[in-house]
Amino acid sequence: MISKKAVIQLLLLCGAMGLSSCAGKPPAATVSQVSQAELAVQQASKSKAPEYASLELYTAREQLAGAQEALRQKEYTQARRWAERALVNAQLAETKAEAEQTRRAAAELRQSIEALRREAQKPASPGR
Amino acid sequence: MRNITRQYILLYLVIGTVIGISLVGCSHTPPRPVELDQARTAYAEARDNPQVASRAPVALREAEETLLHAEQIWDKEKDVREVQNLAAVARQRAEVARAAAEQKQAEAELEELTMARDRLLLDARTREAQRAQEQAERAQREADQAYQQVRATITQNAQLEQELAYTKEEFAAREAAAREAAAKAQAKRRTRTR
Repeated sequence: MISKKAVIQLLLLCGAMGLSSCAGKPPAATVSQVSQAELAVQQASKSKAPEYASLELYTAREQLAGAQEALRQKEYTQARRWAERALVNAQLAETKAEAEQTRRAAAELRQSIEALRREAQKPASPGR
Repeated sequence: MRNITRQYILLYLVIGTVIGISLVGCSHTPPRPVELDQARTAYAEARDNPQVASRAPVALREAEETLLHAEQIWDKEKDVREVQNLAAVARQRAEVARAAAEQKQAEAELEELTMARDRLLLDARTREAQRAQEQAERAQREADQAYQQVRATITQNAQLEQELAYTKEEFAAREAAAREAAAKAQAKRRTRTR
């Protein structure tokens, strides 16, 4: 009888521990990953990404929302996965936007150089 | 009694079947996720692009590490969902590497163009300065010429004035001489009539 009682107590203890581990604080690593993703999305939003890489930024935002929701639902594995995806997509959006911005600046400069060359050639012919 | 044993046999059979099915289910390996091969292809493309290899080595390395991690998880744990997620991340990292390489390339181009523009501007300024100097020199020459002309005219004027003065003097002298001669002639005539 006593041994049975002990087994039941042990089982209850295990269950309680399991529950408490589930209901307690979320794993610090996951929380940190979600906030890193948040930061990356914020940073990308401040860059030219909304203009030049809107699809990637949109995807990152959706994935971040998924991570935050999973965190609320205490599905920590799912939250970590969404956060990883959101982070890399935010980085992709920012990098793509930067590349596009630089390309555009180069194209503009090339045009102004053409204009300068034309101007340099123009007064030379009627001058002589 | 017989009924009970039969029931037990049935129960064991059911349990055995369940265990057997679950064992088969465990030993049966899930198929390799497509995402893993997609990630491998994306990474290989990025790595074989010399621009990416030279301009974005860090991002490329990150893509490789994530891919290797995904492969490892697949080999060890066969966790399909985890591997799918990691593979997707690896693929995006390969994209990041490519975008970073494009960004660096565009930056280098921008730098070159900036230098070309500065050269052009400098040339234009030099040309303008040269033109201004030439103009100033021409103006100076013209002014010198005008000055010389004025000087020549002044000298000529002075000469003419001098000549005129001489002529006047000569004329006056001649007039005086003529007057004297006339006076003398008159005096002679007067003495003759007396």
